[in-house]
Amino acid sequence: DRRTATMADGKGTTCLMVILILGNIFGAAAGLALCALAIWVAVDEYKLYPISGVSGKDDIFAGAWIAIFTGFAFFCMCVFGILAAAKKSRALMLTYLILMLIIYIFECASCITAVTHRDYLVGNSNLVKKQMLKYYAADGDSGSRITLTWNKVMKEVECCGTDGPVDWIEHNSTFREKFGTDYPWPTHCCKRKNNYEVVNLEACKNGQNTTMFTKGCFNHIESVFSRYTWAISWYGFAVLMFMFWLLILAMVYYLML
Amino acid sequence: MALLFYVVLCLSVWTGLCQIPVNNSPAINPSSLAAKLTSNSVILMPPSCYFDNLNILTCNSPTTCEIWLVTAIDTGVSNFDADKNKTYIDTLSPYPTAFSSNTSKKYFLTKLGLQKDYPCPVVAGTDYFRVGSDGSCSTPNCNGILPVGSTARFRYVLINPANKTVVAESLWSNNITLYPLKDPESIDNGFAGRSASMIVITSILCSFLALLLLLLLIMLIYVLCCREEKQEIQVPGSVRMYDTHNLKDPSPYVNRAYEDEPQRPTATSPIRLKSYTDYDLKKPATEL
Repeated sequence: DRRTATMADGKGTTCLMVILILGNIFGAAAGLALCALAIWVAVDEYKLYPISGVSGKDDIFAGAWIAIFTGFAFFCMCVFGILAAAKKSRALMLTYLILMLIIYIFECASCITAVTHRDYLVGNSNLVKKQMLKYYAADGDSGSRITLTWNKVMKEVECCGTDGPVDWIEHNSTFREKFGTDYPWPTHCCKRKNNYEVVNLEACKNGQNTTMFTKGCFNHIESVFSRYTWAISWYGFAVLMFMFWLLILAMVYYLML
Repeated sequence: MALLFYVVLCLSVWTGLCQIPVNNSPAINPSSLAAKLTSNSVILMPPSCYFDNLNILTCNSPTTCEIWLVTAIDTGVSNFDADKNKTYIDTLSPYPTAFSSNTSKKYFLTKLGLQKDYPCPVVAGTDYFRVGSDGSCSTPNCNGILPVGSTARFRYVLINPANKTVVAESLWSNNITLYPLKDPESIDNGFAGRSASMIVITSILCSFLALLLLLLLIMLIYVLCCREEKQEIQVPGSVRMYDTHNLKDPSPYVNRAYEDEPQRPTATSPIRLKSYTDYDLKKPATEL
């Protein structure tokens, strides 16, 4: 065996090594969870992507895609970190530190971009309202996507318009230009029976609140996008806070090796 | 005196010279209908109790008298008041031409139904009347939509179907202003404000990232140039890895070969080695 001695030896390094290994195990689990959560956001079960896509502010989903890869990368790097710590190898620890930093930077980008674009999209109801008035019942690809999305939302959430049916009355819109002489708002605002027939079309056109939906859809849209954003940005933030302290410990360990 | 007044009035009506006024005026339906006022239509209260209890000679039963609505904008009010004594009032200003130009009459009439269809008290189902329900129509007396954002006044009239003269009339309603349509491009969807979470996340993440980069840089610089070399304790003697058994186990060494020799060797009795243990062969020194 070698007759060599270093700066600090024995129990200090071993203790730190154990902490580092445990921290990396936890970090691997957290990274994998981030990957899974980001996959959930990217899948978009509420099918509201066209609202963000048509407006060009779809970086909540871009943040989700980045988080899928960084989450999985965190998982791999933490497993590598366990190996590097156990082997007490300087070269491996340095590689671990540098790669983790690169992944850290990407994950920061994902969190910040997701939360910023959520503010653009649903900070207030103006963008969603303007998009609805402009693109609902419009021709073209954007028009059809927005129309389908809004029809789905109005039917499932039982709502009409962004802040309420009054949006359709107060503002001019593509819908009003096409159908405004007859219908004040789309027939999807009307209550329907189970066989999809409108309960009372005349009363719905008059605005009787027992035959149509009178609440606005913006609350639902805002809550969905907020849910996606909090998943990516706040959970990513938590993972990054943990990784920050893990990396500080790893740097101390590297200095002790 | 009152009787005389009424007799005179009825005679006048019979001759078609004036109409019986009714002390009601149309108003927007106060119930919670969301579309009671749009940019091109209005929902009014129906003329349910307006024309009851009238003794009219020419049109004396609810089954024959017709209730019509007069919609007038701007000068249409005075135009209708000038025209209301004429016969065939429904043809004087048909809907398609009523608002078409600056010189048109700016009023039109549309038929609600027979007087019996609007009984007093109000029956559910007839408790509203929507002006503009026919959309953009082209027949002379259809219930067409009003010009966008216009200010209109309304009046219910009782019409004798025989010669389409106005038999009784309500008062003019107040000015009812329709919604002027706002352009959706005027909605400002620019800066929606920054939420608190965005500021927290961005600032904390950026500062921690900067801190991490700084610390890593400092660590790398320290490792590369400022670190003292590792000292290795040298074993006395040039051989680095030699099993120094005599240092490990210091004890007086006894050469077994000479064990049995009690006396010193002399010239006459030379030393005769009994056995010789070749240590170099047993435990060879591990060379450099």
